[in-house]
Amino acid sequence: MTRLVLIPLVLLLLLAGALFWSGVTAEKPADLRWINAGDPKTLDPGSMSWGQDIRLASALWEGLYRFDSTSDQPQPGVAQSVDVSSDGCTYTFHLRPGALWSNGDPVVAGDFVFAWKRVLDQPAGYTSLLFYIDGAQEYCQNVQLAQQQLRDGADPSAISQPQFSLVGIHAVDDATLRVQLKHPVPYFLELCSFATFYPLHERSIAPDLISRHPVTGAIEIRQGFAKPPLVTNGPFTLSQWSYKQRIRLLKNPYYWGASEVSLNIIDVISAEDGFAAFQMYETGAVDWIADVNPEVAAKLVRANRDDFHVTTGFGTYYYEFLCDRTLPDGRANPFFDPRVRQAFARAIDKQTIVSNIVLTGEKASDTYIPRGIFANYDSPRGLSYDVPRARQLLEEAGYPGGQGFPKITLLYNTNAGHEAIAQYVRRQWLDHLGVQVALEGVEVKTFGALKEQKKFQICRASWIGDYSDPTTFSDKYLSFSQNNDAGWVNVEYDRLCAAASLEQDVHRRMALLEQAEQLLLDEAPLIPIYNYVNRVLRRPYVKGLQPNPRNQQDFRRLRIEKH
Amino acid sequence: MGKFILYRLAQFPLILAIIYLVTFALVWVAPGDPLDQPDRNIDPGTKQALRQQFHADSAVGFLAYYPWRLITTGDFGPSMANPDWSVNEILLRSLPVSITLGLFAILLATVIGVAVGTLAALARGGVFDWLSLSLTLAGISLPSFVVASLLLSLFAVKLGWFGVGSWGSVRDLVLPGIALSLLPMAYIARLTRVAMIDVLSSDFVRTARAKGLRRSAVIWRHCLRNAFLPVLSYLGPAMAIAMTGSFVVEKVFNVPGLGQHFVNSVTNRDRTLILGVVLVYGTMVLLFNLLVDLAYAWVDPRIEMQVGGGNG
Repeated sequence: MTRLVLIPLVLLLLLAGALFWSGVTAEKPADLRWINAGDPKTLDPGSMSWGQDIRLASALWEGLYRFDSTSDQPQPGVAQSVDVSSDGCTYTFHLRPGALWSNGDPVVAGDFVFAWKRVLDQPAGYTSLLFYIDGAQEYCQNVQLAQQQLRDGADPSAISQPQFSLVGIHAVDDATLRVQLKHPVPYFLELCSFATFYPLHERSIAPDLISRHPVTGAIEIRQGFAKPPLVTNGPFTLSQWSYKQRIRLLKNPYYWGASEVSLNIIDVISAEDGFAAFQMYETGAVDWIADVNPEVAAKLVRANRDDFHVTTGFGTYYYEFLCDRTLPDGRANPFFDPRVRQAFARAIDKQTIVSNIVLTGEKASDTYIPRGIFANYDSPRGLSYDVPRARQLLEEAGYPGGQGFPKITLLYNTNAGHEAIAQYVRRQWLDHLGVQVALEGVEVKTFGALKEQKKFQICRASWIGDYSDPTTFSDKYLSFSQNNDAGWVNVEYDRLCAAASLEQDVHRRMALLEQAEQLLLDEAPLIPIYNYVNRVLRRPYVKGLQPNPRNQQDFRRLRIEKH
Repeated sequence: MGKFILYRLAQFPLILAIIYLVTFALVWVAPGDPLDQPDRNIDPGTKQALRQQFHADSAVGFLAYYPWRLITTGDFGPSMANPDWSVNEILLRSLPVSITLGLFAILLATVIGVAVGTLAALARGGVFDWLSLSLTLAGISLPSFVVASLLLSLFAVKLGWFGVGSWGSVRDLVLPGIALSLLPMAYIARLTRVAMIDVLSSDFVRTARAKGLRRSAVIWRHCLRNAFLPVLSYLGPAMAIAMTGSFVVEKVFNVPGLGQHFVNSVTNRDRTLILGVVLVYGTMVLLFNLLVDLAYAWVDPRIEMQVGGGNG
């Protein structure tokens, strides 16, 4: 009998041990607890590409310029001032004397050179943002080529050395950084506030995590460096990162603007499930949810909650056509004809989608670039919902009443409510155009792969911008863009965008980009459906959260009003 | 006995190697890439460079690098979807959480399940038996997300007895532990009841009673021991399942355990992490089956351990 009782006793003992092993000690409570959007993918600024990572990184790092919630324009960060040459191609940044790392070291121009070189040496999702810098793209390609040759067994003395000195990034002295651009980039200061352009403190990276290639001199920082203790230069430091549990940020006493920073401890709680996150908010475990799950949001809209805020987002949900002459299986592609694309675009009632399916305050859209998110940019008019015109266009293209239209498929990923929209759109095309479209719902990674390989006819798509300039959207449809999944090629569009990139006058430049978008909307390689919104839930005592399309926040200005 | 354990342990590497290879084959043929995102394509050169960084540009390259690294250093390599973390770090952080939760759930399930099953068998056909049968049926058929959500909204949100979404104290263990324990508890109760009814009508029980032993002594000393054997064989896989985490329960209560990685690593095509979690799970199943076999012999000395035979 004793043996039988021993089994639960042993289990109990094991449990006590396991509790101790997995336990967390009691700590000082945080001033602000919030939920970002799941755990960050990475806190390495050079390789991050997700919105939630970039949002959090702005609390830890500061670029030459920085996002400021009180202003539309990027504000000086590590740089105190900048001189721009008359041709708009040379930027000379003068670094702030008081800019320090979280260990007290001064932030010097070399820290930027190091970090930017590393992004070119060890490319990641956003490396191409550095390609505006003279010689950067060529250098990056040469490094990759040289390393490939070495892997293939080439003699180190025979390969051509990538020359970083030819790249337009120069530390003139500790306090001066000179950047030479390929052509004027009117939003370059905006880019300088982006995560990819943050500096890195080389000396504090553990020697076993960093290496320089013996032949090419390429810097490689291995995974795992962006964890505590991490030396950063922003208003906060990374004190703790418990994977998929919590990130604790502490005020950085060395930050040059520390006197303006009100919070001392911020906890970023990880909650992947939208409903769990909402329950945490309801029970007071968190004060702010930066990105509310759409299903929870729909309930909050119905409940008319005044702590729930819906504001214009920085992206568009749309459908995209493959515009190649032939389909992946070799058949002629009906969507090569713009009239067919226009007919399909005009046959969708988008208003019904946003008021009956999406339900969280999204706005039906006729433009690709969301209206009103860029200063000085007047969005053109897109194709309206017009069934008779749609039928007429389809008839002109040779398919009266949908007769003779080949069998086609609509590709989408099955998560995140895409299916409901796809079913509605399919019904509209059948009712209005007489065209049968088969639905192909696949899992998200399969979707990504099929789309990139252009194995689709129509697919759901979305684009979220990165920086505050219309080119963050329009560049996607340049004929040579790697993100142009539609395969839409239009010489005039490329020409207008190229002209805009050389135009120094902001109004003329915007006019060129407006013309380009008008052309894109008329030619209809895509059907805009709605513009994204930001869905934020916050307690009224959390002050300083400023709604903005990119849903970035200025952590310096956040404070808690006594409650 | 020692020989038996050694023999079984010697089989482990072979079984785990097979599991590794089969999993790898499935992971490799699955469409999509850990580096793909649905709406944004990475520059082909960058993608190639990243693949090379992860030793994932070819199946041969992957197999030449990771298994050897695992055998020599015990390192699964970096997580391809969360590059700041190695698979070992992820496992080391989430496994203790799942083990704690799983142990608590199994302990609860065993103690309550055996007690309910025994009482039901003793009161066969009575009100308690009928009640326990209905409750265990509910326990088996109610999906865990229903139970978990009910517990959460009642005890945490409405009554405020427990915190939501936090982890680190015994209090945080209670609700997810109960949610996770209901299914094994119901199974154990039914297994115990059936076995107990069987034992109660056997000859040796009658003999013991005839010899004048008290009913409680017969039940405690003789019946329970025999009735526990089927429960014990169920406990092995049940423990492995409970201790490697439950995706649903972890999701509802925001528990940072291993269960989430079973689903998320596959969705992300995080090849290194998939292999890591599958091997950990495989090891747990093997280990607990061995432990159950040993506990069998220990509880019931009639069972002999034989090399090549065993009971599992």
